[in-house]
Amino acid sequence: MAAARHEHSGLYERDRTNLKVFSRWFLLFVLAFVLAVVFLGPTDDGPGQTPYWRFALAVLPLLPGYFAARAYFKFLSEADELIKCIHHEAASKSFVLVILLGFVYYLASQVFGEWEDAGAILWVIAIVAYQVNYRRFWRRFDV
Amino acid sequence: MYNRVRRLRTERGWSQAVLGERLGVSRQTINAIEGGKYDPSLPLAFAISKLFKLPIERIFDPDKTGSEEIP
Repeated sequence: MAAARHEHSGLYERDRTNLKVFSRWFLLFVLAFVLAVVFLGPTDDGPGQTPYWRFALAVLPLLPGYFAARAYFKFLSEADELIKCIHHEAASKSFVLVILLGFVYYLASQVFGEWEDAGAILWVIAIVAYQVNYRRFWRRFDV
Repeated sequence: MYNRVRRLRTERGWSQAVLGERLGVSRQTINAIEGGKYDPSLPLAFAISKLFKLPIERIFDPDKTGSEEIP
């Protein structure tokens, strides 16, 4: 018997499971990233004086980040071809948006000075724009 | 790209969901192909051709746009 496909999202149970795996790793990545940023903080250590735990903490977010990326690509490789196409479109448009905003920020920072939270804000904008674009594009076809 | 998917599907009395299930794609994919908003991948075009037992060029025409109207 064929696996059931969700009527609105167009996703198979397998796709939803892949997305859940991705979400868990991504959440862990965000937590590890925040922990690393909070605990690393600024340091006065000179060259060669940085303790090893700081290196370990700096590398820590890469592990869940790697698994999140792997889960995301697994989801994309197994998803319906229209869904895959829309994900690519949403990702590329949000990427272009963030590149443009990055340039705008750079120019603004030359005038008003640097803002240390700008990088984090740009990442949040990228993720939100990706989600918004995906839902907007999908609505064109989900009729 | 112009296609006759909608006509071929309705001639057989299938819904978009049924055709999607037979081809292993979502109902939305069938809807997008029929509406001329999305061109299927080559494997999917071949699967459609095989399912309807017609050559690809009888189903898809790259020189025209839209979808065949149902009278």
